Amino acid sequence: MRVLYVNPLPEGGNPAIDALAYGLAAAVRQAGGETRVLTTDFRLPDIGKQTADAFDAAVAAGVDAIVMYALDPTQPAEAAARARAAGVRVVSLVQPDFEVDGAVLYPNFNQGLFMATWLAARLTREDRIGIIGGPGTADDNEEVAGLLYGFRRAGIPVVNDPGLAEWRNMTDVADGGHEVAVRLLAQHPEITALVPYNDESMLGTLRALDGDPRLGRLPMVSRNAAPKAVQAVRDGLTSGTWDIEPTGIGWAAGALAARVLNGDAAPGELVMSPVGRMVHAGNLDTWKPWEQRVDWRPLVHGLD
Amino acid sequence: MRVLFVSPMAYGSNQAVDALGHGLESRLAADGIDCRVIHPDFRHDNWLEAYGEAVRAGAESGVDAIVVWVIDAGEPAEAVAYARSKGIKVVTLEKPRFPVDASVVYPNFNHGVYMAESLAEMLEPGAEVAVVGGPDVVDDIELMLGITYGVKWAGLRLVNDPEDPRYKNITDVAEGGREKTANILADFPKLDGLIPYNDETMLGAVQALEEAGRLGEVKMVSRNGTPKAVDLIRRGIHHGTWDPDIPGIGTTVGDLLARHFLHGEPLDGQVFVSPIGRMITADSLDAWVPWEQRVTYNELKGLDA
Repeated sequence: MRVLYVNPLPEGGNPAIDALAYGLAAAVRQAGGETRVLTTDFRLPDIGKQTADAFDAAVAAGVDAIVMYALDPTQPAEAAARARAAGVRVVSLVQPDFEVDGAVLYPNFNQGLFMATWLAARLTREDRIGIIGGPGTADDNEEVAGLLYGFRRAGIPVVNDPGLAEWRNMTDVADGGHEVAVRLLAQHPEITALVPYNDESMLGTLRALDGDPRLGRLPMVSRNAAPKAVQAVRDGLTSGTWDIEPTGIGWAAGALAARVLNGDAAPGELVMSPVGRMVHAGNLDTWKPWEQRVDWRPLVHGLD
Repeated sequence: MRVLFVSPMAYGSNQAVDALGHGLESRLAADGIDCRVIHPDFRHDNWLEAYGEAVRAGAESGVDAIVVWVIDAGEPAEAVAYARSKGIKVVTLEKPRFPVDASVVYPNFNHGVYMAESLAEMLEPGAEVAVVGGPDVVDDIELMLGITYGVKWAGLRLVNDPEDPRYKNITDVAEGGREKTANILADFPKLDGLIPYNDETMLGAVQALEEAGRLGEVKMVSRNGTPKAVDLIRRGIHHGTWDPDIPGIGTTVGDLLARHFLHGEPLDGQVFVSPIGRMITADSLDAWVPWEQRVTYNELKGLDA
């Protein structure tokens, strides 16, 4: 059983994406298979071609299955169809708009709701929330929808509309979070708690608060539980980070690929990834680093 | 070892609720764990009090765990705290705002998004769609948020406000679906699509469409994958029902408890997500397996039986 994982970012670019790949490889290994990795970079304009080329190379190399991350739900439809026509099974992280043999979905809305509920339990109705939204991908939109619903249910007002471009970190990296946080804190001094939609945006937000007396006193949660975010919780700079269990997401994808190849999965089967939990000062001791959650072995890059 | 399931509806009044109970019971039975059921029906005026009484009854009878289907995220907090103070594990369906030992949550929002996307595949971009809303219970609120988000995300045009009481089936049964769909049909003389939030509402919607002479005008999707909805798809009257694998939700809870009691796996207040399920359409009917064939339908016994 040979599985190709088309990594959407070079290894080392994002610890959550890396952890996902390690979880996937561990699950395939447990099922008796082998995982190879081809790296693409979704930040580059030719990401569609990069991914399609990886698919074609996998078909030529005779892999049994390809696992991809559908950051753009329309790509690579034609290459996926070619691969499936050649008998290679295709499994996707996030469901794309084209047909695949299986997909792993994220409970983004639930995570947003639980993040809001957790933070709201530590606030009062007199507090005011600021939210930094994401770049507009389906998973970030769903998380923000959960956040908005959670704060509405708790009766705590959100002062900005995170769906508007001015309140969204379109770059998905810390610099973008910094830029939005500076603007948000300046235009809404009434804010008493913050939710940057992910850890990278939170790191930019901490930079925006550098030298501000509110640093470390403004309740703040974000999502992913990346090592730097856990450290920020440990340092008392933020209140919590939602651990999305990226190794568990990868494990779900690897296990699904194995089941597809063994004929144990329904056609086009959909599987939910773990919902995860909040990492906060009260449970830091039970937090396990991602590399200790699965059999963490070096990824094998290339198809040869 | 005994587990009590506090079910929100009387047996026989909602096939989905029954199927979940059977999924739970059969999974526990597989490991020799006895499952008992109390039904404090949430449609009754005093249901909150009855919910609390059911949990306390379980605590007094010395069960090892209680599974509570959460209707209101704030209740029954006191009764659950009482049960937990006696060392009884409490696991909830949906996550409440009070401490419990574990929760199994549904990806309701995802269901709503995928229902809307499925409908969009049957319609032209920008098609006009109406939605019949549901009661203000945790899972249906999230489902409705997913449906309304998904309708817009998929490029359809939502013509009504599903939160308007005129379009909201708070009864959760077919007759309410008939009444609210009739209101929609009276207010919107031409529609391309209709999303009754669940299958029971859809059954009423079909009646209303027939009475208005408009059956066949709209494509419809709903949620639950109930046998009646599947039958209507087979007959070409309905077009899609999201099957959330309801027996599988019960199995998920049962599996969690079995792993805890038999293998010592900690619960630690963790949250688990139930299966996502899939859309049943005319194209996928042959692969649909009736609920009673997915798990063993043993008799669900009361606490005193």
